Amino acid sequence: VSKAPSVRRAPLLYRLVLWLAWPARERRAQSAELEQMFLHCVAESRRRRGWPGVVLAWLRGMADAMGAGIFAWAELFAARGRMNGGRSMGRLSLSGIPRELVSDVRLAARALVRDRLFTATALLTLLVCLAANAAIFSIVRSVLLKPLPIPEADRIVLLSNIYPRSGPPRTGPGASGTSAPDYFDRLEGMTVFEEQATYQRLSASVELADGVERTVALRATPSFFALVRARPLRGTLFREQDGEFDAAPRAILSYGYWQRAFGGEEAVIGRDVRINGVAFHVIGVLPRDFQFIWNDVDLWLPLGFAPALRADSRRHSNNWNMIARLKPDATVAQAQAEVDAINARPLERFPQFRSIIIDSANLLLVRSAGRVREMAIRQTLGAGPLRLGRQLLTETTFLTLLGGVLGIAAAW
Amino acid sequence: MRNLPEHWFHILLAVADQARHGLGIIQEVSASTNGEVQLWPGMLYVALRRLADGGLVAEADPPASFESGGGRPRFYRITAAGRKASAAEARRLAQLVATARAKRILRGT
Repeated sequence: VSKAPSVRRAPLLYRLVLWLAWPARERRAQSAELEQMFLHCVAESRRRRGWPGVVLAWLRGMADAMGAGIFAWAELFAARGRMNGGRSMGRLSLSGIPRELVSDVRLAARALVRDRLFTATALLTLLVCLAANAAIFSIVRSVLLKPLPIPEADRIVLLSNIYPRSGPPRTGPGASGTSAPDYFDRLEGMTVFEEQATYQRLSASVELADGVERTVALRATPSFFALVRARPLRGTLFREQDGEFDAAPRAILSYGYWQRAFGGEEAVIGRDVRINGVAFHVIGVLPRDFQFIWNDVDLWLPLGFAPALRADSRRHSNNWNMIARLKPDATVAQAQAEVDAINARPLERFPQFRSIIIDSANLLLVRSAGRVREMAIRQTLGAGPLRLGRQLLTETTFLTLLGGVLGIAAAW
Repeated sequence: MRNLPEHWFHILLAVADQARHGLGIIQEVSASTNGEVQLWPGMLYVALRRLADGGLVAEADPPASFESGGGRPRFYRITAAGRKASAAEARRLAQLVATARAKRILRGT
């Protein structure tokens, strides 16, 4: 006698597919059993083929759940059609839809199987884009939507120069944003900011006792630490004069780097460390939980500007990122107005991500050109434009759904 | 009658000796084919609905010894029509095997 199914639930993703693809009542009646069977199939596949088996079982199982969901919908429509008098009441009656829907889906599947290269390309595109989007979203979430681990982070704004007539704006905390002369103009002209700072991410070669190590450094104006309200764990942070371009080089270590490269030694403060060939005097260590956007920054170096960089001719050398802290009552709109008054360039705070839909639509467009003959034959055989259009729509939907599931699976 | 799809035949064989629920059918089919045939939940759901519509299987009471671990799975058993259909399919396959043997494709056993 078979063993009783346990009450374990399948992972959320599988339940999501059931929820999306199945009519509600039938899903409620079947989902417990379907989930048990799916878990069994995944476990079985894993036992036989290891981790690749798990991935295959997931893909297969989700496609399987979607297919059965379509069947359940078709049954539901057919049952409703029977209740409506047992006979189809013209082309568009409810009972007429399921058979055509089923045949549309079948045609779509057949066309996609026949044109494997196209299907693979489209699915791969959707998969990569969706996975990338999910990955980007998690980055966007951690960078933009989740508050920075900085006190009153909602008052911190990012300033980027954009050029409306030269393509989409490149903005964001990592994209280059401001030129040195702009920074100094704003230091003088902005009244709504409490503090302003620029920074620049760069790679650094650090000469340690046991060799040279490459890591990431952030050059920042001394005002940066006041702006983000950081305090040193050991030693001190930069003073105003460390930001002079000809000041003696000083460095601050992240907690992690202090532990990793110097074993948490107190004596490292006051020592010289050669970074990119220059001796930097270590003056402090940041607290363990201090983080600004990137979690891989190990070293903090002072950023100063030589007079040549501040010249007007460098107004478009947007090589630095600029942030500012608004005064308590000031708004972004006020800051915008002031910046506009200073240089008449717009301010953009958030990047936009959109690429999937356009990519895939282009592919389908290219393909439709190659299918004129097939359409002509169908039309000759009596398929109306509505029917042809619906078939193409079904095909596209089918492909998109499949790509969506794969994309979610890839991002999982 | 048209040929039975292969997985329908497997399902009919699985419920030929005793009533089974979905997971039981998957396990039985997998066990009796050394894991060669793997049924998937949705595929099984569709097949059982079709088989029941065609009168080849029928819903059955759970065996007395069945203990539910939550939920109430449906059990299925084979019907007389189902037996007839699978016997016909088995004969068709046996005929095929006999032909293969006669043509010396298959030797021994």
